[in-house]
Amino acid sequence: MKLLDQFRTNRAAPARPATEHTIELQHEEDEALVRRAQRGQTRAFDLLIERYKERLYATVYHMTSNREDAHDLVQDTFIKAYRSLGSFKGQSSFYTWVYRIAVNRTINFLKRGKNRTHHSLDNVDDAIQTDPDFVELMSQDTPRRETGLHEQQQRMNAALQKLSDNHRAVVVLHDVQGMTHADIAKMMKCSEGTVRSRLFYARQQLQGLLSEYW
Amino acid sequence: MKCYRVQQLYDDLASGRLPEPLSRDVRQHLADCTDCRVQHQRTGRLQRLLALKRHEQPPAGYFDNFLTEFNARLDADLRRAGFWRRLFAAADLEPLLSWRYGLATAGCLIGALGLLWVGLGQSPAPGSATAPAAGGESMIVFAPAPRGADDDLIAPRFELPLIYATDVEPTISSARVNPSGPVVQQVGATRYVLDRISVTPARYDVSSVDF
Repeated sequence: MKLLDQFRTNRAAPARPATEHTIELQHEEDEALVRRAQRGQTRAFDLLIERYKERLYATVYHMTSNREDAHDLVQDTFIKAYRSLGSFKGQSSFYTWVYRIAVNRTINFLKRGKNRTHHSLDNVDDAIQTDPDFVELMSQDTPRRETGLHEQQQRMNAALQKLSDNHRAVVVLHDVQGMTHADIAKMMKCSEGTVRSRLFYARQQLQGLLSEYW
Repeated sequence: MKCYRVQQLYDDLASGRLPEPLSRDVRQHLADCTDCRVQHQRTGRLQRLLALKRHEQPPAGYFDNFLTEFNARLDADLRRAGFWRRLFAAADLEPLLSWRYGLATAGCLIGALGLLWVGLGQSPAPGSATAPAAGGESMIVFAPAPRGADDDLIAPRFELPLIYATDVEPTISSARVNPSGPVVQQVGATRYVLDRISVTPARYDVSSVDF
């Protein structure tokens, strides 16, 4: 129990207000923060969480189409990362490493079929109205002009959920998150050719599922 | 160019990563092949549609308690963890846990090999097939199983060949066996010495059947 108490004392840091030391840490690179976290400075790991939680959440959310699942998975990802921090050798960036944990955990989670069946979607922000892609899509003479934004979002997410886990992962990572084929291949531990092939078939399937948009 | 090959290069064409000659070939193919051109246009639209998902954002304040919740979960996770995990975590030996199955298997293997080694290194006990001869040379002795008074029992007798060691002197060294001479030399009343290991097949005897 002594170890647990010691651990609790160490982890009590987030409750305290930001000190000068914390502000200094905020300017440090990931590598330095990771080294500090590996030496037991929990505040350094907290800063890494602050840095990447939203990006990780976005990826996991797009793969699950469920806000609650995404939240739980991102929490699990950081817990796993914290526990495995000792084995992190810095061969890749911290973000790539934690991103890989998140994607693999999400794929495993979806494979186990424990995800919530209903969609719990985030709101679409107002910035979409000025997005050139959105403007162009709305300007074309297709049924989507009459479709409300919310309905369009529902259809898109429903179509994504019909893809296999691996196909959905590559579509989200490439077409939504903007990652390169090489990075996706590294993350998913497969060849670039496999990534390209999966992307091709996933898009084919999506085009079939969203045929009213063409 | 083949259509399949071109379809794999849409992303690289859009991002300008293709070398100029290849890019020119792909564009030429798209101009000539209607199927690929339509496919290319649809892929572009789909990508723009998917890119709009970036505008899906969680409500404001969604991450406010993220860190507090993380610490609470981590605390709960550590409580659930067993003693060993806590000990390993405190001693910064966490990576060893990921190797625990490998380490355990290696330990078992080493243990088994050790036992085998110790077993082989032991001096032969009575009953083993070989025993040092008086002159320090090994010998092989075979003796038939002792037969007693129950030979006359009705029950059929299933005899396995038994190999006995001997602690008596009359031995014959394999090096001193004369090929033209007798191979088996009697040792004592019922013991025989062979010049080689020989396992005779099992015998199934019914000595007598009385009704």
